[in-house]
Amino acid sequence: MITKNIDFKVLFRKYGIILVLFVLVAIFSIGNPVFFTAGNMITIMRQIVVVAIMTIGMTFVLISGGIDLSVGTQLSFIGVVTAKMFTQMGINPFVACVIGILLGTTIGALNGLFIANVKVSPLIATLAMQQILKGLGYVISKGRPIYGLPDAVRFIGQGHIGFIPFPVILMVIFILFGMFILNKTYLGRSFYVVGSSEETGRLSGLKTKKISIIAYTMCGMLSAVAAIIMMARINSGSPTVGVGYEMDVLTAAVLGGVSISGGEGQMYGAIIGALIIGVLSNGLIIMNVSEWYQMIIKGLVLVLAIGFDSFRSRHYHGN
Amino acid sequence: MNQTNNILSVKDVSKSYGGVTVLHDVFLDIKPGEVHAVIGANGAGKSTLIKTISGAIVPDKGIINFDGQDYTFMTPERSDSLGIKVVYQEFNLVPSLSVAENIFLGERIEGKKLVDFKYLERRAKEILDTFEVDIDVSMPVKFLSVAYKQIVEIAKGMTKNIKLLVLDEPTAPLTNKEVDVLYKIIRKLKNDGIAIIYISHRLEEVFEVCDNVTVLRDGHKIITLEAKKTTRRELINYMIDADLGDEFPERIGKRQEDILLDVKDLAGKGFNNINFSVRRGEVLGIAGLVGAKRTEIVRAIYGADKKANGSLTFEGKEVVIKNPSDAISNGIVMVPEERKSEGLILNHSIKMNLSLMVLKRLTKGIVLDFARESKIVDQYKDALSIKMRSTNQSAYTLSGGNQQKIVISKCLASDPKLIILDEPTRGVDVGTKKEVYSIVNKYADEGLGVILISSELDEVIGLSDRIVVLAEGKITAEFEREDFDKQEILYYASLSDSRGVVENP
Repeated sequence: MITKNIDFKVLFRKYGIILVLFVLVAIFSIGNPVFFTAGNMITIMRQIVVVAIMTIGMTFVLISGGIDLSVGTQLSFIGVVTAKMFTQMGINPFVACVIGILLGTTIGALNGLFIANVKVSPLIATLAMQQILKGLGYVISKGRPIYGLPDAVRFIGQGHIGFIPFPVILMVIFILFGMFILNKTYLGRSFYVVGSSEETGRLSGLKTKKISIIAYTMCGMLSAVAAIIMMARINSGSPTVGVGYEMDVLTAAVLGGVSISGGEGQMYGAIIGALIIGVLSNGLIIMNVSEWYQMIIKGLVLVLAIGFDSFRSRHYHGN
Repeated sequence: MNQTNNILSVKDVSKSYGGVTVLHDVFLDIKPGEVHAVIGANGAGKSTLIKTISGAIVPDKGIINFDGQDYTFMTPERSDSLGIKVVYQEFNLVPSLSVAENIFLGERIEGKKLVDFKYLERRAKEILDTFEVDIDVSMPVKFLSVAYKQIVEIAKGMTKNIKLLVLDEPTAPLTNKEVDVLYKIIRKLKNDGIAIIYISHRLEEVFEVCDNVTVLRDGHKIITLEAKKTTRRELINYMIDADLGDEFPERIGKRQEDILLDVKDLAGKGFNNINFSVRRGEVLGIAGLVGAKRTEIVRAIYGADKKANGSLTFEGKEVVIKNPSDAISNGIVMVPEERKSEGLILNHSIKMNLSLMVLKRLTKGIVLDFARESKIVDQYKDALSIKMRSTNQSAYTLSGGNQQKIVISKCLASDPKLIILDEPTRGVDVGTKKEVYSIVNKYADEGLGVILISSELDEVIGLSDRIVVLAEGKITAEFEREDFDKQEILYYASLSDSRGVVENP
């Protein structure tokens, strides 16, 4: 009896999140037959691309014991800057995108350097970065979206290869990259160690500062990639497009079992978390739930996920 | 003679935790205005005794008589209302509140609905004036030095009518001058008829301020003496257990002649002028009391903390160790003092813990070699006979002993030349202790250099080839194995040059 009990618990912990996904899909399918169609499924996939790619970066940061609240405004900022570069400054679109990604990488690195060296709370440091980037985005765009994207760039956000949207292909590539880093490499293992006990890691010879800086840097890079896809999809660099995205990304990761207190979680879980967010948004829209209620529901989901996470990790953190 | 004028009589008190008895039928009598020292080595039962008096724990049997009234146990509320005040080593102060607010924390001033800060500050000033110390009562406590914080803590007791003050290692963090201020306060309270229990490691203080001394050893009360009629030597004799027993396995190999590590003029947080060396295959014990800076010194060698000064020569070459990573790549590893927070990642698997120090070596390019990881993990889990269901089990599910074996294995897996063991048997069961002793011997026999820190003097004596004795951040003596003498070692460990040289041995 007892062994069966434990097995069930382990199973639920590992795959419970998939169950949640199926239940949601079932509810929405019953609620509106339009939901469970091939067309809508592809739509959902396309809709989650941005959140999913950002979730990969957030997962690195969370597992290594940090948090990054600036990812949402990075989405706006990088989009605005990149769009400005090729629409108004005449820079080659490809080069502009690369510069955009490098810029995001630098922002991530700055977050990491500041947090690791000045020892400020990552919550506050990245909140400050969020504010700075929001302001910069408005200054550069003068508060209005920047239009006029060339076709080649639009393809990144709107193109198809066969019937599969191009951004979905990009997403899959980055998910595989994220899984590889986290599960197969020295770096990924170090993220877990630093997030679990930084002092143990340091005394065991890990360069813990460097490792957490890398986590933030990668998060910045992935957010910039997401920003360019977003810009290409909405056909403009908008200074407001990223509002609230950090919440979706955080909810996705924590929902997927990534611990808010660091050291634990899996990439596949986080991605399923992103899927759930996508299904939830799409399903609620199809069922005509207003955007205001959606916010409430997503907030509740985040609270539930964090509560569950804290409950789960209590057993070894002591009482 | 039963009806004495004792303020406190502890009678026949015993306490055990999970089969281990930490107090055996202890008696203690204190009169008003008496300063009574309670001394003993680590684990003698001093803090358990205090906790029974303060009500933090409930004794298994015995009676605590306070002010003529018998109690089978105390509670924190009861001891508080009876006028017992304990000042622990860790203060109970709110850093951001002012001195006056801290002194009256939790007090309700009669007839007032709002806090009258002027009144509080005036009363606080009155109390501190009787101590003849000048502290700005409106200053937040966090800006005070440790000594003043301690005084505030004592002053907290003065707002009530206290009859017994317990000071737990009060001078450990204090400088010379500050100790004098404390003594003055103690003498003043004594004159006011307050009884004081004084817990300390430093024997000379016993002679400075105490009337009587009670010696505890392994939870037994050994003797109570009048401070005037005893000597340091005599007290040390009572504190230590004469027979060592044969719990330490015999060494087979011999230490080699060539010097593995040479430490020169090392200085850092609270220590300076540290010079010693370790030879290949030698177990070097570091003995010392609380505050001797043993851990600080080895952490500085290992690169875990900053060094202010000094050089290290390892295998004949001068090495620069700025962080643990440098130490490990040179072949120096450390089993840290705090197993759970510094030695392990509790929420992860045994496997992940065991391979932690060799992670870099298990990496090809950026990818981890999982097959080699498993091989190393299997090798060490067998070598140290770690009891587990599988290597995927989380470290927090293991017993303290098995956890410690994992930390040791983790270090050995990196194939070190020198291992630093800081309190390797703390919180570990007897069986595992012996296993740890055998491991130390076995690897030393194979040529590994070992630096061993332990608060259990028997352990240091039983395992070491040579012992360096530290007192207050300075080396006070060095002994070769044939000259090991518990009494001598304890004598040098309790030397404190800041209090002047003690009486002749």
